[in-house]
Amino acid sequence: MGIISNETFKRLFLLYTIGQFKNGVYGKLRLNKIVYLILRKHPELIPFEFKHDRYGQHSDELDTINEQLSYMSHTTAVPLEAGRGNRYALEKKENMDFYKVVLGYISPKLKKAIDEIVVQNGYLPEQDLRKKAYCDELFLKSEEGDILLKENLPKKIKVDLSAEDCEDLALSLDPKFIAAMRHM
Amino acid sequence: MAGYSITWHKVFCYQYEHLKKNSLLKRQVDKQLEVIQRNPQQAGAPLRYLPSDLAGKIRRLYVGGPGKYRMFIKTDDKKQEVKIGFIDPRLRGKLDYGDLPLEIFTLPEDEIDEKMLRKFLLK
Repeated sequence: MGIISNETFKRLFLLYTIGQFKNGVYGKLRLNKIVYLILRKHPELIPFEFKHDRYGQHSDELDTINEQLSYMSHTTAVPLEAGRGNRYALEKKENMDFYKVVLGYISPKLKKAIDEIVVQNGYLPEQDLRKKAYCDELFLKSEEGDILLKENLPKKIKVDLSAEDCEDLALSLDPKFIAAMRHM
Repeated sequence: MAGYSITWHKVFCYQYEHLKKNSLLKRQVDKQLEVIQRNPQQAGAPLRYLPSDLAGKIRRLYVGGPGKYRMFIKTDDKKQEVKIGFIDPRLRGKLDYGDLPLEIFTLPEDEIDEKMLRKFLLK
């Protein structure tokens, strides 16, 4: 039995979610809303704090990790034709099988929630997606600035993988390590 | 394997200088350096799941006995170059990678000072 840190889990979760979109995720807003809906469906493992801000449900940490994934070249960020925002897609799709296995070990229910929410809502027109997200009970009861979801990950997460697998995963998703290795 | 040029990063130079003479760790590091010299492609194993530009280039070797230290090297087979990077001073399995100032590797080596290097000393 191996262990990964909560930080590794956050990056893995986001990579897997982005990887579930056939052609990538169109825009940060869509990614934020989809992740929020996933976590509302499966609140047992919440990797990011979500706030009610002027764009609705939003997580600063999710945006930061999304940028780091792109910096590390685990994802690509291609400007959208409309000129606002980017399309985020997995760079190495072959890693998806491994991410799927790891996430499945940690929480099959969370993995299922991601799969279902992406299929059901991931490709909705933006207006419909917003409408869906804004109907959320928790959101309706809140005001701008309120915290909607609090991160609740344990510091260490057990995974049915070897110590080496866990190490490789952690290092490959560590932006500081990747930056160091690129410059070395 | 002839033809590979091998260089040491300043961090590894500092760590090596401070290894205790005749210690098990130093003997193992020397042994790994010999392996790297002979055939870098057989030294340790490449890290997996890395981004495309690093895939196959970063290798991890173990030194100091089971559960001890990881040593990282960067290889470039096209250029036939090997850079000996560093030995991670944190024991294997330690989860928090945030507490080691890895940004040291993003600096030009002549800008790295002793204070930064001290954090990489092996205990």
